[in-house]
Order: sequence, then C-alpha cells, then structure tokens
Amino acid sequence: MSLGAALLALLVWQQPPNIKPPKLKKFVEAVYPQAQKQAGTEAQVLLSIEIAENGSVVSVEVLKSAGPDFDAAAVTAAKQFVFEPAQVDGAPAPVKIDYRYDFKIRTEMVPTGPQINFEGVVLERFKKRPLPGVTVTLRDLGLSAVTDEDGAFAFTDVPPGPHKVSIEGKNLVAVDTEETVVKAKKKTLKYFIEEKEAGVDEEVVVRATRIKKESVETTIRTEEARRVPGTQGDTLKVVQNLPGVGRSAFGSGQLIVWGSSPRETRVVVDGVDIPALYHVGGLRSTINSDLVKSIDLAPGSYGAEYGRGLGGLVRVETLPLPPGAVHGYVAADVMDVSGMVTVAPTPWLRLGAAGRRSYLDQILPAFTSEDVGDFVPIPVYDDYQVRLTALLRKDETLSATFLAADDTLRRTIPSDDPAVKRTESDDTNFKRAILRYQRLLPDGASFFVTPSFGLDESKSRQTFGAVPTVLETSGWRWALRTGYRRRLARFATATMGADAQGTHTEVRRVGSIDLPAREGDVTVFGQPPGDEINADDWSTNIASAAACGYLELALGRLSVTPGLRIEPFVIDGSRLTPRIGDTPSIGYTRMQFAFDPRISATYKLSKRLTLTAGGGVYHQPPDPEELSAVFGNPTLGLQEAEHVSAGFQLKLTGTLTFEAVGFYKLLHDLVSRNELPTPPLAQALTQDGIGRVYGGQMLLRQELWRGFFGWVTYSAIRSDRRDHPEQPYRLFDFDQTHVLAVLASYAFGHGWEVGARFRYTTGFPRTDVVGAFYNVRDDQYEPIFGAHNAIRIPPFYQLDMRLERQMAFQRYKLSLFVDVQNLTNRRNPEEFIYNFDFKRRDTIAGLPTLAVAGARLEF
Amino acid sequence: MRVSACVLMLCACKPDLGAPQSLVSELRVLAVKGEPAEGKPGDSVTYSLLVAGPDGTNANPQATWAFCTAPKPLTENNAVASACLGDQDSVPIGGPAATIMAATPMNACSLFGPDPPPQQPGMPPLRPRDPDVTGGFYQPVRVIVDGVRDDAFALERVKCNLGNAPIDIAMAYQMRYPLNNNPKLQGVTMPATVAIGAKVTLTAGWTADSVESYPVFDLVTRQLVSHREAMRVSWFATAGKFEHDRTGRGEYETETMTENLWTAPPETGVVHFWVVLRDSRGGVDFASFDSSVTNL
Repeated sequence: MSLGAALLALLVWQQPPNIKPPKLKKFVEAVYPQAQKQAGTEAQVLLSIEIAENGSVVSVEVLKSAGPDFDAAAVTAAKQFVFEPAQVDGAPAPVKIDYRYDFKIRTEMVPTGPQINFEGVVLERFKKRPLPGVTVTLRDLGLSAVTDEDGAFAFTDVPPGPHKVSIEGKNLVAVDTEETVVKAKKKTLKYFIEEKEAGVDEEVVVRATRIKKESVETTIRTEEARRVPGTQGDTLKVVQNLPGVGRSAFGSGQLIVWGSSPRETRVVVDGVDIPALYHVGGLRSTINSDLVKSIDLAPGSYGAEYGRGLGGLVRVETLPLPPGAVHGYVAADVMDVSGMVTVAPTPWLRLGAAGRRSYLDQILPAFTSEDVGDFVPIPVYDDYQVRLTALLRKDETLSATFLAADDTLRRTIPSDDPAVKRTESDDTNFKRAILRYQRLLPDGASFFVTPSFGLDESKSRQTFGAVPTVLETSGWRWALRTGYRRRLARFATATMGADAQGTHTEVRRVGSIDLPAREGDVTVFGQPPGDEINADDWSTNIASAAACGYLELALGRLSVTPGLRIEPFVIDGSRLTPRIGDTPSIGYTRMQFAFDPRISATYKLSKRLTLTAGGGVYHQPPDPEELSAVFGNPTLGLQEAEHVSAGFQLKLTGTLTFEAVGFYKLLHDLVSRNELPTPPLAQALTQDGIGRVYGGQMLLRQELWRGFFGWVTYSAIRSDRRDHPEQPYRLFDFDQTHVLAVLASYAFGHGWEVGARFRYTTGFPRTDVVGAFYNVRDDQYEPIFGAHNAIRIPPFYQLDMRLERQMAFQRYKLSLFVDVQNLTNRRNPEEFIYNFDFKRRDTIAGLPTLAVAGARLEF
Repeated sequence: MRVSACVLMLCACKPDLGAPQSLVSELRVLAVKGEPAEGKPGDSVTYSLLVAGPDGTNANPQATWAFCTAPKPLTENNAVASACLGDQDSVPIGGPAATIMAATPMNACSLFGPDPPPQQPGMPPLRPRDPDVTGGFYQPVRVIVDGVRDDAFALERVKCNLGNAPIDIAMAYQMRYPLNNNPKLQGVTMPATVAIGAKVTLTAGWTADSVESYPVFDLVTRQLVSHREAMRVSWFATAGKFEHDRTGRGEYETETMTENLWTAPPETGVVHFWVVLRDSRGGVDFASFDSSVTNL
C-alpha cells in the first residue's frame, strides 16, 4: 500500500458512512398454500434476502420457518422481488436484509355470475305435500317460475325491494301477495296453498296484507260445517255450536249470542241484512248451504263496518259460482227436498239457482201422537235463491243475487171449552235483491258497491178462546253499502265506506198487550193471554246513513285497528198518540246521532301466541213494532251498548289452536214494559232499562287434518237486566251460564265419515210460582210469582251422531247419511208446566231420539 | 205408533199433573154470583158464594169481602193486579158472611175502566184501561173464605162510557147496550144412581134468553158490532172423572145445552156434583146435585 492509499484509508476510517437502505420496487404475492388456506391457517416466515448492487435478489434464506409449505411459497415469491439497491455514500452497494413475509386470509367480495336470491317451495296447505307445476310470477317484473317435483322454485338476481307475487296452479286457490327482497340476502319462503273445492273457481286476492280486524271472531269453512253432527248437512246450523252462542229455546231457532236478545244480533249475507238465519223452528237455514262459502261469527266487539245491533254479528259469505259445465245437486230427507243447478253459458257469465221445500208437516202426524202439535210447531217452509255472476274484466266482477224464504205455520187445538180453543196461523217471508260490484285496482286498492232492495212480511193471527191476537207487518227496505280499501304505507291500510239503510214498515196489531210476549215478561208456559185488548195500525220510516272507516296498522308485533262509525238516524212515524174519537192522528219525525268508536288489537307475543283485545260502542234503532202509540211508545230512540273484550290465541300446531276470550258488555236505554199501574198515554213501553253481560269463552279447535276435525267450546256467561232504575237486577230470560259443545268428525276412508256432538247447557231462567188465586169469572187459577227469574229449568245435555257414506262415480257423487239426535234418548226438560191450581210442577220434555236419514246426489 | 224406515220418533211427552180441576178434593170456591150481573158505579150488588168440598156444598161459608183498588200494571198478565192480594190496596166490604151487598165504587171506571184519572198540569195524559173482548170493564172483588186455601177474585162487570170512540158511536152505544143478566141453568140431567165404573153422559142446559146479544165497539173498524154471548159450563164432582173440565157453546153455536161424559168411581158411595154456568160477560148461575154409586 503506498503512502497515499494509506492516507485515504485513514480518512475513510475516521468518518461514518452515509447508508440508504434498499426499497422494494416489485412485490410478488406468494401463492397461499391451498391446504393451509382451506384450513384457515395463517403464518409468518422470516427470510434473509441478499440483494445485489443492481437491486436483484441474489439469494433467499429462511431464518424462521412456518412450515415447509409456507417457507417454499415465501422463498419462491421473495426470489422474484426487485429492489431499488441500497446505497452507501451515494453508491449502490450489495446488502443483506431480514424480511418477514405474512400469510393472512382475506374475505373479498368478488363479483360472480347470476345469484338466486328469491326461492321457496309451494306446499298443499293441509297435507303439506309439495305441489309441482305451480306458476309463481313476479308480476311487476314479468318473471315466472314453475315449481319442480319438490314444489321448489327460484328466481335469480331479483332487484331489492317490494314485489307483487302471484301463485297459480290447476285446482289451486290462486294467491296474490307481496314480498320484499333485501340486498345481499336470499329470501326463502314456504307457501301453503289450498286446493279448490270441486267445481269451485274462487279467487282469493290479497292485495294488502289482511290483518284480522275483529278481536273475537270464529270462521268456519263450509266443508267442515256441513259435516257437523246434528246439523243434517245444513252449513249455517253450525253457528249454534260456536263459542259464545247459547242454545236457542226449543223450537225457536233464535240466535242467543253473548247473552244478547236474538233481535240484537245482526245476520248479513254478503253485507246485506236478512231478518232470519233459520226458518221457524230452527229446522233449516234460510240460505242453501251450497251457496255458502264461509260463516263468520263475531259475538261482540266487531268493527266499524257494521252497526245497528247491540249484540253479535253473523256474516255469511256466498260462494262464487263454478265455471264449466252444468253442476248441481238434489237431496231429500225426512224434512225436505232441495236442489241446486249452476251453469256457465260463457266464460265470463255464470248462473245458478237453488231451492228447498219442506214436507215434515205431512209426514210427522202419521208417526206421532196427537198432542205433539200442542208443544212442537211444525212449520212449512221453503226458500230459493237465484244468482248471476259476470266477470267483467280481470279483478272486476258484477253479481246479482235474489234470496227469498217463506215460513207458514197452521195449528188448531180444539176444545169443548170455547174459551180454550186455540188457533194459530203464522206466515213470514223475506225477499232480497242484491247487486254487488267489486273491483281490484292495479295499485292494490279495492272497492265495492252493494245496493240492495228487500221486503219483509209477517202475519200472525192467533185466537185463544175469544181473545184475538193479530200482528201484521210489511216492511220495504233499501240499502247501499260501499267500501274502498287501500294501502297507505307498508304498515297502514285504510278502509272507508258508507252504509245506508232505510225501511218503510206498515204494522197492524190487535189483541192483548201481553202477546206477543216480551223478554222480561213474567208468565208461565201455557198461561192464557190477558183478555184486555186493543188495536192499532201505524207506519214508520227508519233510515240511517253511516260513514265508517278504519285503519289497519301493522306495527311490528302489534297490530291495531281503530275505527269509527258516525251514523245519523231518522225515525219517522204516522201516529204519536192513540186514535181518540175522530181526532186525526199526528205524526212525528226526529233525528238521533250515533257516534260509535271501535278498536281492536293483536299483539304477537311469539310465533304461536297472540294476544287480542277489542271494544266499541254500538247503537240499535227501535223496532217498528215497538213504535205503536197504543202497544208501545212512538218516542223510543236508540239503544246503546259498550263492548270490551280481551283474550289470546295459541297455535299449538299448524291446525290446532286454542283461544280464550273474556268480555264485558253494558247496555243502556233498553226498552221494557212500563211498570206503572196507570202509565202515561202512548207510553206502554219505556226506555230506561239497563243490561250487563260478562263472562268468558274458550275454543280448542282442530281444523281439517287428515280427515279429522273437531272442536271443544265452553262459555261461562252471566247476563242480567234491570228494567227500571228502582228495580233490582234480574237474570236475562235467555241467560245460560254454562254452554259446552264437543264435536268431532272423522273421514276414515272409502267414503265413510262418522261424527259425534255432545252439548251441555244450563237451563233457561224462570220465575217460580209461589201461590195462586182463583179467578172466578174465568174459572181458572192464576199464578202468584216469586222472585223474577230466580229458578232455572234443569240443564240440557244431549249426544248426537252422524254417519255418512259418499260414493263417487264417473259423473256424479252420491251421499247417504243418517243424523241421529239425542242418541241416549234423554228426556231433556224444555219448560215448566203446572197443574190447574199451580200446586204441582213438572217439566215438558223435548223430542227424544230423532233420526233423520237422507240422500244427496251431486253432478 | 208406527215406525218408518226414515224416522224413529216419539212424541214430546205431556206430563201427568195429577187430579183435574173438576175433581173437588178440598174446600174450594167454585163460583161467585153478583146480582145484578152488571151495574153502574154506585149501584148496589149482592154477592153470593158457592163453596164446595168433599162432603158437599158448604151451606154457610164464612167469607171476608173487599174491593181491590189497584189497577193492573202492563207488566202483569193476570186478571187482577198482584197488589190486590195485599191489604194495602183493598177496601173491606164486610164479612165474614156468605152473602154480602155492596155498592160498586164510584171510581171503578176510573181505576179499571176507560176513564183514567184527570191529567195533572204539566203532566201527560194517562193511558185508559183496555176493555176485554166483550168491551167490558170489571171491578175486582176479593173473597177470602175460611178453610179455603187460595183467595178468590170475582170480577163484577161495570157499565162505563165508551172510551176513545167517536161521539155518535158512543151515543149509539149508550142507547143500544143492554146490561148483562145472569144466565139461568135448566135441563141439568144427573142420574140419581150410577153403577161403579159406569160411563154416564151428563147434560146441562140454559134458557134461550140466557144467550144475550150486545154491541161491542170494534177497535179495528171503529164501529159497533153485534155479538152474542158464548156459554161455558164448568163441571165438578167429588169422585169419578169427567172427560172435560169445561164444555160449552161458542158465540155462533145456537144449541142451548152441552154434554160431558163422566166415569163413575170404582167404589160405592155418594158423589156430589156441581155445575157452574158462565156467560161471556161474567154472568153466573150454578147448581148442585148428588148421585149414589152402587153395585148395580
């Protein structure tokens, strides 16, 4: 080394060098070892990398291993790195660095191909079997899918948001609904679809999700109702077995719902009032069962759509007529013959006619003893219906229905004593002509208009000895119902409507003020009417026009339906005071307003448990028969009631439910007889009565499942009245504390069905006779009564059975049935009866075992 | 009873309620006769009793008599108000006596007839009483007889004005209406001796003039309509069995007699009979007879 180099080396050694580390210019991703990636294993490999002066990697050495796979991957990648070379005092220099390579698993959203985000399966509702070949359509997108063998369908890349879905298939009830698809989430659904009844072409369109509006309501399908024992295949008679319904008085057929008088419960067919659901005697309903789609009973607390009644509401919905060729049936049993025929002459027009005629009055006397007619009125009845349905457009229908029913009763009880000889002649009939226009709008709203027109006539003429009783009424009625329903928001659907009705009634009455008897009258069975008589004839016009509306709010688990019904009434009559001499009669007109708020609510505590509550105010106008200036009171106004109810529904399985409801009703301004010995003129009736009804009901119900259905219902109800403010409460005449019904029906194959029904009811209240006095003029003893309605007729219980065999042939179906009432031949007491001086009391028993056999041929 | 293939049904059973009204097994009031059968308020009426028992007619029944002053409310279905059973609403006439004479109260047409109490100032008018089918109004008379379990009420017909009728009709009514007279029994045939278990047809007749015609204001046509009295016979016996408790003739039947079948008892002895004849307007006549049931 020269003196100069030595001096240079001495200079370098004496100053620290300027070092710039290398910089990675090109990074290469290591291939993640597959096995470790699937296992989700992450790792770190520490490498020693030698970098040349030009920045290339000379060698790579593993300093800390993470396993051979990770090591190899890291080394392979690192060898491909490219660096900006390190610099020492500004000059590139080779260097060795330590480098840690991290292996981490990252979730990365990678756009892929088409994704199924709306799928489901379509199953039959009751048997839960898959339904292939069903078309599922997303109507707003114009997309359709057909279910496969497993009932499955799927749509891909359905845009997020609400979509209108239709489900249609052969022999299936079409369904329209709405579903919402959420972004990046797959929607999977199960649809349970009902198969159509044979020959039925019904379309259930659910535009806005329907929330159950009535807090207490029982709906029965006609195919169940027809098979209930004791109904002889009459669908509407099933109402008598529903919770909250008491047993009607023997031979009356009247509906006693939640302790209310029969005239306080409304019966509507397609929204139109009819005066009677059953023919006289309760033997048959006034509407042919084959025209009935469903029967809804709301014993109280019903919504704002309906009014003019203090009690319950029975809604009968008629069935759309079937399409296709001629269909119908003919049936006969010991009571009557009936039949129906329907035809569809064009694809859009359907016609149907049905009728029934009784002949029991001619058969019965041949097999019974003479005095059965003393206690059991045997009416002659007939009813007929004509229906026309026009499918104007999709979602637009026009239907016209004509209903009519007649009842006639003739009875003569001869006697050698002219004062006791009795005759009875009763004729009642009603007619209704109903037009109904319905339209479902493209935006999901719906509306309907239902004008109707009708005539109700009743002629009752009786004589008890020389004492006549004549009551003739003839009432023309018109009605108009409209409704518009629309979804306002996802959680809110509104319905607004009008319900107008008017009646013009002519009434003529002659006879004792005691007949017809009123609820609350204290009498004994068979007691002759008072022989003080009078006569009157008058006419009334009663009209009202209600504006009603309700809002269905779906607030998550809570659904609330507040409603309001505002209804002005006009009551007009021909006579304010009795006819006095030649003085002309003076009429009257007055107006009253009914303000009826209603509300119902449900709260889904869980998937299976729902709490319910409801209530409201109800008004009822006076009966035209009560507005007589002689027998009644022309100044009678609206009667009022408040209902409140609360309960729960528990879904034990898909078809087994348990419901329980408690309720309270308070009634005001009830009409009753004037108690004064000398009442004011034209005030034979007063309006200061009060009523209260409270109790509970339960229903355990198995819907049709594998051929079996049935239910157990029990009601405990207390109903009492106070006719005048200073009087104590007394039991309501129709009070039945306990009502139990257990019924079941099973189709065990090869067309055989068997059913049974057991009923238990508390007997009706009666007033005991505690003594008697002798009426010398009439040679009869007359009762001295004890406390009003303080005793009861003994309880009623009865077992009925039904056996049916159905045989299907190529073009028709034949059904044979036997319906046996009172299988055990129990002697059920129906009334108290006394001997001539009221010293001995016994009971009259109702009909013992009664077997009704019949046949039905469907084509 | 035949049974068909389609129906198996028995009658609704009418229970057996024991002895009929025609069997006299305890002391009972069978009739009260007012003479005259009809009068105006203030007229004197003589009331007499028929009281029967297992031993025959009670010749001297001790009865307490009272007028009832309580109109019957519309809520009651009997012939008299239940208030009449108490003393508060009764005015004693007299007794104990088998026969009594009393003047019909002056307010009878007001309490029980078509003349309601006068309207009070500021108050509505009151509802007049309704007439019976014969157009009549009645004053209740309470009779309590010693030894008879139940009180009896006679209803004495009272002649009142015609309520609510046009004036000309009311005047015609006053001119045409005949006061009721008690009917008269005649031709009552009862065998003196009967075999045990025998069936005997008994006959009771009345005089032709017992069936009176009278006008009634028809409330429907608002005209005077002529009616004819119906006649009823009540039969009583201390033994045996009548086919009917009562027989009679209606308004449109012209016969002046009626029959009844009586079955003699299975044991011998004396049977006491009574026959009470009533017309439509409350008039009464009665008679009693005895028969011997023997082993013939």
